[in-house]
Amino acid sequence: MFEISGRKKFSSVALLSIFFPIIFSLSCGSSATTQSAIDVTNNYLTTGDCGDALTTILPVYNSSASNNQVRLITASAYGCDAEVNFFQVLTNLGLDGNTLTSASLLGYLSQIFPSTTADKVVESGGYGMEVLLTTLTTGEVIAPGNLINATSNNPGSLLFSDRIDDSNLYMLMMSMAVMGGAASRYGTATFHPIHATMAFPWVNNTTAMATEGCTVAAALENFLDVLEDEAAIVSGSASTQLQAIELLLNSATLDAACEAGCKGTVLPLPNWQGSGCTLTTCGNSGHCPTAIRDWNQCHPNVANDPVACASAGIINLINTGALWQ
Amino acid sequence: MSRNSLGISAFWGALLSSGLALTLSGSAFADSAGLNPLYRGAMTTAMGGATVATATDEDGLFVNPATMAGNKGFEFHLMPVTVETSTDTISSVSNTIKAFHNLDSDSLNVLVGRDIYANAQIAPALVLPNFGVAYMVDQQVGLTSRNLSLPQFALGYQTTEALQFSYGVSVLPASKGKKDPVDDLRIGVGYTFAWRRGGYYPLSLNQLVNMSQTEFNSIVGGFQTASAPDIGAQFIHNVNPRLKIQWGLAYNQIGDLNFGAPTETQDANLSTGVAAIYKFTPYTTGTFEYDLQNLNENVQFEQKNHIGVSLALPLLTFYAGLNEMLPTFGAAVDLWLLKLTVASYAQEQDALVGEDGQRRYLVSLDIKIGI
Repeated sequence: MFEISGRKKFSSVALLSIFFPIIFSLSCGSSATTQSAIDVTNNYLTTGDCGDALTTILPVYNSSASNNQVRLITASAYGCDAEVNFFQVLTNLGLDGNTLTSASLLGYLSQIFPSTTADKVVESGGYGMEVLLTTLTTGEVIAPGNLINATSNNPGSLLFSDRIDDSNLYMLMMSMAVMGGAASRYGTATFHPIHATMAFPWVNNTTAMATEGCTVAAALENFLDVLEDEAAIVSGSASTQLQAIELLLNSATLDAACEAGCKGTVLPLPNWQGSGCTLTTCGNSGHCPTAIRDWNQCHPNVANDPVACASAGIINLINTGALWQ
Repeated sequence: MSRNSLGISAFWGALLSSGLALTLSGSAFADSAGLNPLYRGAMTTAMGGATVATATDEDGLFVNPATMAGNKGFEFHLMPVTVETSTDTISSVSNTIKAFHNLDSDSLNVLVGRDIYANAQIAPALVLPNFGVAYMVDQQVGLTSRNLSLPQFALGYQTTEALQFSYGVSVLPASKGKKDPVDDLRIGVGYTFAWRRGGYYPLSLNQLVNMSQTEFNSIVGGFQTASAPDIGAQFIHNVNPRLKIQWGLAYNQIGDLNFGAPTETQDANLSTGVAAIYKFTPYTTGTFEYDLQNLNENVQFEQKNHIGVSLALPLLTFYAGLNEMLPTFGAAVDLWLLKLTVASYAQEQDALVGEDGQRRYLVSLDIKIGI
C-alpha cells in the first residue's frame, strides 16, 4: 500500500516537473523576426537574388526594429543591384595596377562597373549610399548641421567619422559603383571625360541637372571622404591602387568646383559650362555644401538650390578631366 | 606578414588550409554558434540529442548525473574519439584548397555560402557504480560566410578542455533488495571544471581584410577557466516486464560556464524528457524519447525539441531523431571492447529553424574495458 501510494506521489511530482518547464519554455520563446530577415536576406545575396533580398529587408529597415546590422545588409542588397561584389571589386582594384597611369579613374571604374540605362547600377548605388549614411557609431553625438532623417527610424550623419568603419569601407565600393556605372553609361568602355563620346550632361542647374547628376556628385564627395581612411585599411595592391587614386584627388579642387557651380562661374578649363546659378557662395566657408553627400538634399533644376548648383560644378569638373589625368 | 593582391592576409590561408588538412586526415575540428552542448556524444547526436531520460555510461555522465545510479560495474572508456565535419567541407574540398593557395575574388567567392567546419573530441571516461569522471578535449574550427555583396563571415575557433564529475543514487526505497524490476527514482549531482579558448565570432569587414596572427589572437583571446554544478533526476517506471517508461530532468552548467570575454560562454541547459523502452525480444530493444532542452533559454520553441528513436539488435543499433526539429540518423556496432558509431545531424545556421540547416557527419570510435 505504501509502495503504491509512494509511486503515485512520485509520478505526480514527475508530471509536474515535466509540465512546469514546458509552460516556462513556451512563455519565453522569441520570434527572432529581425535576425531571421537578416539571415534570409544574406542567403538571397549569396545567390545574387537582389530583388528578393530587398523585398525581405526593406520592411525591417523601415521599421523601428532597424539597427546598424539591418542597415548594412540593406545597403548590401542595393549593392547587389549595383553589381558590387566585394571580393571581385578588391581583386579588380588590385590586378589592374597600371590603369591609373594611362587612363582616368572613371575609365577604370567604368570597366569594373559596366552599366547601361537599362540596369540599375547608378540608382541602386545611390540608394545604397543613402542607407550607409545612417550607420552611426553607437553613442555618437551628431552636430545638427550633419544630421539627416532625424525623426525617422534611420537617422544618419553626413560626416563619415560619425559612421562605423565597415560602413565607410563599403561606402568606398558603393560610390565607385555610382561613378563607374555613370561613366560606363555616358562614355565608352575606356571613358575619359575629354575624350568621351558623350560627357556627363548635368552641367547646369537650369534644365540639365538630374537626380543621376546629384548622385554622381554625392558619390565623388563620399568617395573622397572615406578614401584616406580606407586606403590604409585595405592592404596589398588594392591598397596601392587606392592610395594612388587618393593622390590624384584633392578636396580643394572639388571645393573650388562647388563654389564655381554655386556662383555660376565659368572656370578656364576645357568643356566647362556655366551652372546657371547666381549664389554668392555655397555657404560652407568655401567648401562644398556638407549636404552634397546626400543626393536626397539635391533638388535638380530648382533655381539656386545650393546642393544642385554645387553638384553642377562637380559635374563640370569631371567633364574637364582636370580632376585626374 | 605576407599579403596577396586582395589585401587579405595570407593568415587566412594558413589557418584554413591547416584546418582543412586536419579534416581530410580525419583528426580535427569545428562547429557553429547556437544551442551547442558542452559534450556531443555520438549516440546522443544520432538520437536527435534526446537522451536526458535514457542516457547511460559516458553519455549519462555529461547529460544527466542521476543516470550514474544505474551503473552496473566498472567501465573504462579508454580513448573515445569523435570526428565531425560538414557536407560543404567535404563537397568543396578542392575549391577550398584552391581558394587558400591562391586567394582571389573567384576563390573566396566560392566559399561564400559554405559551412566549412570540423570538430574533434576526445573524452576518456571512467564509470563506476554511482559515479563517473571524464576528461574531455574538444577542438572546433569553422568558417561560415554569406552575401557576395557585403561578405558576412563568422570565424569559429574553440578549444575546450573539461573535467566532469557525476554522482547518482537511487532514492526510492522500493528499488532496493527486490528481485523483480520495480520503479526507481534516481537523483544526481555533477560538477564541471572547464578551460576554454575562443568561440564563434562574426567578423567585421575591417577584421576580414586585415586578418593576421595578432588580430586572430585578439579575437579568440587566451585560455580562461570556469566551473559550474549540475543536478539531475531520473524516474523509471516498469509498466510490465517488456515496457519501461522513463523520465529525466537535468540542469547542467547551472549559472553558465562563463569564461569571460572574448571566450564563448557555455550556457546552462535545463532539460527534461520522457522515454519508452520496449523489449521486443530478449535481444531486441526499441527506445523512443522526447526531450525539451534549453528551457532556460529565450529561443524558439522548435529549437528546444529533441526526439529520438533507436532499435538495438545484437551487436548493431540503429538511431534516428529530430534535433531542434532537424533530422538525425546513425548506427553503431558494438564489439565488446570496441564501439563504432556513425551519425549525421543538421545544424541550423539561421535564426529560424528550417531556414538553413547544414548537414554534418560524425564518426566515433570508443575502446572500452568493462568489468
